[in-house]
Amino acid sequence: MAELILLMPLAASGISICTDKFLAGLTALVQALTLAFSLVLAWRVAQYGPLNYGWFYIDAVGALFLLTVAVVSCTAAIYSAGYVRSAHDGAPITGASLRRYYVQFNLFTFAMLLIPLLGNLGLVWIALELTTLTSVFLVGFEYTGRATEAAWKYLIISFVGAMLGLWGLVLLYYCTVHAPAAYQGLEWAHLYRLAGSLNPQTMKIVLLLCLIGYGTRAGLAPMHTWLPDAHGEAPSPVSALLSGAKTTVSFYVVLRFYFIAVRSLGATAQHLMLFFGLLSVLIAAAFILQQQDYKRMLAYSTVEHMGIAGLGAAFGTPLAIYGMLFHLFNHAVTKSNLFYAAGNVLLKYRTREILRVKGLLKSLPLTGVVFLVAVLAIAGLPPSGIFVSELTVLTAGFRTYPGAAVALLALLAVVFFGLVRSMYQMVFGPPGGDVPEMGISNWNNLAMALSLLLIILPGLIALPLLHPLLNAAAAVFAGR
Amino acid sequence: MLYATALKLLGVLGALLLLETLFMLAVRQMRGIIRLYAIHSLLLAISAAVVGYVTGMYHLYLVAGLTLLFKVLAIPYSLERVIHDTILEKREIHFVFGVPGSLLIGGLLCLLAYFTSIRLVYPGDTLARLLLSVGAAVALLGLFIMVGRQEAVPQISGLLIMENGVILIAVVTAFGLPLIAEFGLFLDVLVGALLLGVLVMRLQRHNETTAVGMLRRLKG
Repeated sequence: MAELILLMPLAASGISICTDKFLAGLTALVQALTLAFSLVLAWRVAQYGPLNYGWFYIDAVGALFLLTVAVVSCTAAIYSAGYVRSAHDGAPITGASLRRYYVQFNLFTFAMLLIPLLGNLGLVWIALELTTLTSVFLVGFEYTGRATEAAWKYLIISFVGAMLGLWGLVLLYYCTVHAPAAYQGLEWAHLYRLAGSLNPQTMKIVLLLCLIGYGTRAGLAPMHTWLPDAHGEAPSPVSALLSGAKTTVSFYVVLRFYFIAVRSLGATAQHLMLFFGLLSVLIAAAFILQQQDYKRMLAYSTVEHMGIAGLGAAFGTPLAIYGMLFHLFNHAVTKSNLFYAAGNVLLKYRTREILRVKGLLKSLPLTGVVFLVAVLAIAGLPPSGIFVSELTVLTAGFRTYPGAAVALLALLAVVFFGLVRSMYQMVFGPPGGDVPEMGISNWNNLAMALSLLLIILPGLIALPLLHPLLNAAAAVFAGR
Repeated sequence: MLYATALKLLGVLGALLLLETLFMLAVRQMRGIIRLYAIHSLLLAISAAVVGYVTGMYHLYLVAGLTLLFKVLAIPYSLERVIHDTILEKREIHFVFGVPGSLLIGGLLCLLAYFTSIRLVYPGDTLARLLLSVGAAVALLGLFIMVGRQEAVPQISGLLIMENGVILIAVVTAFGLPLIAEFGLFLDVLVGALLLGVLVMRLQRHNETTAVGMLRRLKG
C-alpha cells in the first residue's frame, strides 16, 4: 500500500516529462487516488497498529501526517488545474512550462508523502531535503525578479537548516552507539525506546541543533525568514502546498526528534520548545499587525500556528499533545484553503496589497464567503476545527505552564485583531471601479469548497477516522 | 606503528583544515574562495580515507572517493563556470565585518566549538577527541562565512564549507551510518549546489548583480 502511494505521484511526474496533454486532470486524479490509498492505509494503522516492513515504519503519527499531506496535495492538484488555465498574468500556462510545473508538483508531493512513511531518521533527513530541492523552482516559477529572490532565500536558508539538522542527527547517532543499551542505527522506534539511557549532555546539543535545523523548514522563529518570501511569491497552489503540507510535515520531523529528547531531558526540552514556540507566535503577531500584503500576512499566520503547535508540544500532557496534533491537521486544511482564496483574489485584482482590494463579497461572492469564513476560522472562531484544537492546547497549557498560556492567549487576541481588520477591508464595501473582468475557473472553486468542508466539520463532529488516529498518535508521544 | 602514524596524520589534517578555513575568512577574491574550497574538500577526502583505514570501515573510502569526485572536481568546476559566465571572477567581495573583525569572531567561534564539543567526547574515543571539535569549528566558520558575505557565490562557498565540517563530524563519530544515507547526502549537496548556481545566474539576469546583500525587495 505504501509503495502504491509513493508510486502514483512518481509515475504522474514521469508522464509529465513526456506529454502536456491532460496533465491537469491526470494529476488531480492521481492525487485523489493517492488520498484514497492513504485513507485505506491510515484506517489499517488505526485498526491494527503500526506497520513495519522494509524501509517503511508507519505508526499512528505517521498515518495522521500522511493523511494531512495527501488531503492538501489533492486539493492543491485540483486548484492547479484552474491555475494553469489562467496563471498570474491571466494567460494559460502551456507547453514546456506546463510540463515543468507538473513534473515538479508531483515530485514535490512524492517527497512529502515519503517523509511520514519512513522509519529511519537518516532517510527522513534525505526525504526532507528532497522536498526542498523539488520545490525551489516551483517557488521561482513565475520567473520574476522577486520570485527568484524568494527562491534563492528559500534554498540557502533551508540548506543551513539541513546542515544543522544533519549535525544533530549525527550527534544523536554518536550518543546512541555509546549508550549502555548500545544500538547502531537510526530507526525512530528503537531510538524512542532507549531514549532514557542517552547521555543528557549530548542530547541537549542534539535537541538545540534539531529544533533550529528542522524548525527552519517548519517555519519556527528565528529561522522563519524564508517563509513569508517563498509563500508570498510562489504560485498560489504551491503556496498552499508549502504552507499546508511542507511546514506540517517538517514539524512532524521536529516532533520525532523532540519526543526522543523529552524522554532523555524532561523539563529542559520542554522549556526549549516553549521558547521557540512563544518566539514564533510573538514575531508572527508583530508582523501580521503591520502587513500590507495579504499573501505574506497568511504566511506569517503560518509561523504563528507552528508556534502554537510548538507550545502544545512543550506543554507535554497527553491532552496538549492531542490538541497539538489536531491543530496541525486543522491548520493544514484551513491555511491551504486561505491560499486558494487568496489566489482567486490575486487573479481578479492583480495586486497583493490589502488596501487595494475591496468588496470581495460583491465582485467574487463565493471566494468572498470562503475567505471570510476561513479567516475567522484561522483566527480561532467557532465553529471550526482550529477553535477546538486551540482551546485544547490552551486548556492543557493553563494546567502546566499558566504563564505561557496567558501570553499565548494575549498574542492570539492581537493576531485576531490584525487578521480580521485586513479581512474586513478586503471583503466588505463596494468593489472599486477598476476591477478587471476575470472569471474564476470551476476547478478553483471546487478546491475551495472541498477544503471548506474540512475546516468546519472537525469543529462540529468527531470525524470517524481522524479521531481514533489522533488518540493513538497522542498515545505514541505521551507514553512515558 | 602504522596506526599511530595514521592518528598523527589525522591530527595534522585537522589542523590544516582549521587553518585553511580561518584563512578563507580573509580571502577577498571570488575565484580564490572556490579554489580554496576545492583544497578544503581534498583535505576532507584524505581525512575520510585515513579514518577508514584506522577504523577498518572500508566504505569510508567510498565517502572519500565521492568527496573527490563531487567536491574537489564537479562543484568547484561548475561554480567557476557560473562566475565566469557572469564575469565576476576577479571581483572583490564586500565583507560585512572586515578582515580583522572576521578573524576575531572566527577565533571566538573556534573556542565555542571546542568547549561545547569536547564535553561530548566519550572517554577512550581518540578519533572524536582529535577531530570532533575541528569539525564543529569548521561548520560554525562556514556558517559565519555565509552570513558575512554579501555575494551569492561566496555565500554558496560558505554553505559548502559548513557542509564539509558536518561531514567531518559524521566521519569521525558516525562512521557506521548507513551507506544509503551517505549517498543521499552527496547527491543532495551536488544537486543543491547546481540549483544554487542556476539561481545565481537568474539573479544576475534579473538584477544585474549577484550582490545578494543588495536584495531588499522582500521585507517585513
